[in-house]
Amino acid sequence: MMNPFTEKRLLRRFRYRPGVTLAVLLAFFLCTGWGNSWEEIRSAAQQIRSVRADFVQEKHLKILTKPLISKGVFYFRMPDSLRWEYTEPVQSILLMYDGETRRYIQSSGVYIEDETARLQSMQVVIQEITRWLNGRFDENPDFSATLTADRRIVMTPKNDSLGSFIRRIELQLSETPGLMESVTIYEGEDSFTRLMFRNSVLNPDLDDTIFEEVE
Amino acid sequence: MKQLFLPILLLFFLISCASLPSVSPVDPAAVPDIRQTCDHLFPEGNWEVVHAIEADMPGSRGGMMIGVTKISAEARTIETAMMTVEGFVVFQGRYAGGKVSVSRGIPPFDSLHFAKGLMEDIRLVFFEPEGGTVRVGITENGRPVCRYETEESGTVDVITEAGDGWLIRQYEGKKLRRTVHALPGEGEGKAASGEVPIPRLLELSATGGMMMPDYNLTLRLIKAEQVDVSNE
Repeated sequence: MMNPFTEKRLLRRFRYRPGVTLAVLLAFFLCTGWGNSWEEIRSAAQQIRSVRADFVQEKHLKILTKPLISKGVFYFRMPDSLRWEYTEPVQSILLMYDGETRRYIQSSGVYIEDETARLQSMQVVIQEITRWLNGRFDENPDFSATLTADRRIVMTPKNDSLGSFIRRIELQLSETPGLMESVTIYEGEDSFTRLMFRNSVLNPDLDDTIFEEVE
Repeated sequence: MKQLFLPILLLFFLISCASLPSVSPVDPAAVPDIRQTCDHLFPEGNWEVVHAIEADMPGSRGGMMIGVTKISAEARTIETAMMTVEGFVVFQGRYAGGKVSVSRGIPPFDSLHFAKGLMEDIRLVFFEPEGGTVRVGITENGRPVCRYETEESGTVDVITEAGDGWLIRQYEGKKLRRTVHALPGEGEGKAASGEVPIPRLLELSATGGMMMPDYNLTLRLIKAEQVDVSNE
């Protein structure tokens, strides 16, 4: 939210340039037009049919001198199809399609299915991501969600047992209505994971094969 | 039942009479070189290493984790964290002064037994066994071997292979408990860390014993970096 003083200064500066002034006003309208209430967020999410974005994941940990960087790409299609693909430093693909979640890892150049039980916890995370992309941030019974200034959502666990694993989750909404800029999951003050989304494309045509097939 | 008893008894005797692989003597002039080669297979100083770890256990295949390990060879301390590819830390612990402490453990990685086993794996890979060599020679296959006997790790054989690889075998009594196969790769393993042998690929097989199933781990090096003591 821009403060009124800055807004007045901007308007004064562009007083004699109507085109630019209009553009600034339009941008101001767009930025303030979403993310101020749960209703606005849900309304913006209704415009989303699909999303494609690159992501950079930073893992911060006390014992790491520098954060560990992972990169990848994700695809989402309403209501609950997802492809979450890591491209470096390891290759791993999580597919969610037609109510089924599968995960693959690349081993010796070939993708093999991850058959471990950890997939169950991943399904919870994926459910959460799809819930966020549907704009339903405040519907998780395990977290309380607070919407703060600058389109930031802070989710804190409602019970201590969950709180001992996840302190809070911060979601920074993008300036583009319906999109997220970053997600930060705090496990402790010196241990957190930040996902930053780049090159987001809203409502691209995404084929079923993206969510069904590894390659 | 009697028919079964005899083979079982025979098997029991065979196992109890099994001995450690022999270490044949070599020309005494060659001993210092073999010993030095063994010494150089373990990193010196303080290191931060990151691995992609693939685990194979009975009934579970294809799981991958990221392992972050900080070691101090001189102080013989380990700090380690295991996390999912998504960055969720499932285990964090420390080994110092011969003691293991766990600061974070998410089931099934929350048991002290798991933590001790993990630290033992890491110690075997990165720390030269304490107490020095008790025997230096060659294996039945003619490969140079250093044998260590320690209270902490039992009997450990370090065998250099043809090429750049090496094998570490740990015995509990006479029973093989762990095997580590280190493969530096096409110079990349060494190149990633100068001349220091942080191998590009590690294959670890362990017999889990009473509390844990047998398991195989494949560790691919993502990053190895020498760190300052001040970062400890």
